[in-house]
Amino acid sequence: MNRADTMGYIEMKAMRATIRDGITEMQLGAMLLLFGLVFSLAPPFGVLCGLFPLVLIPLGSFLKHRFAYPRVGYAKIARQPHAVRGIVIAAAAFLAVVLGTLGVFTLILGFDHGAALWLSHFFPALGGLFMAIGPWVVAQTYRLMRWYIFAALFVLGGICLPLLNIATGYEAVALESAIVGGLALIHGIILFLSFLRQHPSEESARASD
Amino acid sequence: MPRTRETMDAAVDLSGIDRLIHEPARLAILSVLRAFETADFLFLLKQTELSRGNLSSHLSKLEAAGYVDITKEFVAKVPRTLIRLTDSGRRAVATYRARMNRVLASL
Repeated sequence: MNRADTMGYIEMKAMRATIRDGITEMQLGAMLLLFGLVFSLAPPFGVLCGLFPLVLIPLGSFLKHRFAYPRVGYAKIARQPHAVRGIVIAAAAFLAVVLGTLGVFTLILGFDHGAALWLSHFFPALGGLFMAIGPWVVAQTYRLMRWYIFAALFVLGGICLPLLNIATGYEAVALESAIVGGLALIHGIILFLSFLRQHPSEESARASD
Repeated sequence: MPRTRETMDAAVDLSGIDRLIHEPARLAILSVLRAFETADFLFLLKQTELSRGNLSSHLSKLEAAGYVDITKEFVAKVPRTLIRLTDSGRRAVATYRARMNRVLASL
């Protein structure tokens, strides 16, 4: 490994250190789980999902300040303008694909049958693909296997749930969101607890010296 | 004789290497800072695995060269030292990295 490689390795290791505490997984997991539960159990209250980030983002920030920064230090990742542009492009592409495929289904099968089939079997797959973008971006940025797995679960869930007749349409999107969210939350809690055990706070470390 | 020409170019490149950055501990500090907008002293301490005194001394040298900017602030009455790579520091690291890549490619 030459010096330039070493620099890249140190950078990556430092970036990974900022999400080693599991708080990001807990935030994402809780958000997806709540989103899935609300849409599965009480779809009319779906608008409440807009409030989740208002609660979960400050909660994550509190956990970072209270438990993570005193143990491993504070670092703010440099702004990545490419990421914002990528998200805008992905959202526009998603909308285009949604409208395009809906158009093709209704053209070939007629409006009633085409739209119904599109919504029951094709929409969950598209939803899964769209929801996989976030974890995929995180996985690519930090080169972390677990985030690739979350992305893959979204894609697989979107395809398999309707095909296996477990759930279709909006219900399939809500169910896959709840499943991946639950897994991410459990994983985040395990990571967080192991992080606390591995990194005693500076004060307790000094007291034990 | 392309090989000789490349070797001569590499020697010229090597002579222009920024020795302030080339030192392993300072290179590690700058590599960590490159990925972040800002980082505090504790974060750098954990990532570079240097001693407090050593890190402090290297940071002073980098600050004197204008490569990093060091500020102190209080968060909930606790002092925190924030370190940021300056624009000239970022340029210097990029130049160093490109030059090292050129030199290694020609060996």
